[in-house]
Amino acid sequence: MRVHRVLLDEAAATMRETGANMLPKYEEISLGGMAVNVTEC
Amino acid sequence: MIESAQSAVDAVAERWGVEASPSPEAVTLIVAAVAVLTAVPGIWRVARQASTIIHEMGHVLAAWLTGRRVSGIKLHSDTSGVTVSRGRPQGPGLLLTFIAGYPAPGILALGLIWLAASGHSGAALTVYQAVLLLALMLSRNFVGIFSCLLAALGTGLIWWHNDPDIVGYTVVALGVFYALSGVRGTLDLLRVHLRPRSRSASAVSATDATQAARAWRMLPIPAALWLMMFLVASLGCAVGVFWLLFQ
Repeated sequence: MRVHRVLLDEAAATMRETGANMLPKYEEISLGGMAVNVTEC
Repeated sequence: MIESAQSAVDAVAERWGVEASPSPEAVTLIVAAVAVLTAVPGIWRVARQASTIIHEMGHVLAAWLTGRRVSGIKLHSDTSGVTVSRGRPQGPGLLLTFIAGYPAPGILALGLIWLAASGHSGAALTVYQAVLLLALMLSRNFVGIFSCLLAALGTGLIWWHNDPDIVGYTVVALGVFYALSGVRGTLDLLRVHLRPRSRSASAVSATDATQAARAWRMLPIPAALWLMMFLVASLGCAVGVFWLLFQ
């Protein structure tokens, strides 16, 4: 069985890059995604 | 199977057709009794849950009518409640869903008393039972299921017993209760907005009026105006109820 390893530093850098590429409204949970499409009243 | 379904339809039709016309003296007595009972803080704290059920069903009906998907309702032990719906994050549908809660008890009261005043007390109680059963099916927590069951059983026994006089008195009592609770609930909301420092800031930002103000960018009506509209609607329904009862 082949094991694919990703270094912690590489994973952290990828996450940082992904976050930077996201639209701002998805970075703040009260502005987008589930918070606005699922409404509680 | 078909026979039992037929007998169930017959039973509902029989109760739907019950006609009653309570005497003016009885109506006055019921109005006074309900007004006094709801003024007692201990009783109001419990009875208010029945008003919350109708408030949430107002949100549900508006959400359905505007094409939103309703996930369910939750009632809490402090008599607050929440309706969860999915759909567009902006627009008239969301706005209507937000503003439908506070006027709902008053509108129900007006409907019940209008039916009762035209002699259709059985139809009024049948509609009320249907709304409670729908609320029960949509309830998604223990307090909600328990509250809806209690309300449905309480009036359901009277509905099933089918005594025209008692059905007539019950509909009048329900109408007066919802007319008063609609006004009182709106006044409570007004108090939250007028004294925000006594509550958390999140309590104000989560009210139906505040959310309605943000619901549709094309119609930027401030929360204060929505509050006034809720008050006018609930007071108008209450005036209509008492006019129908004593005309």
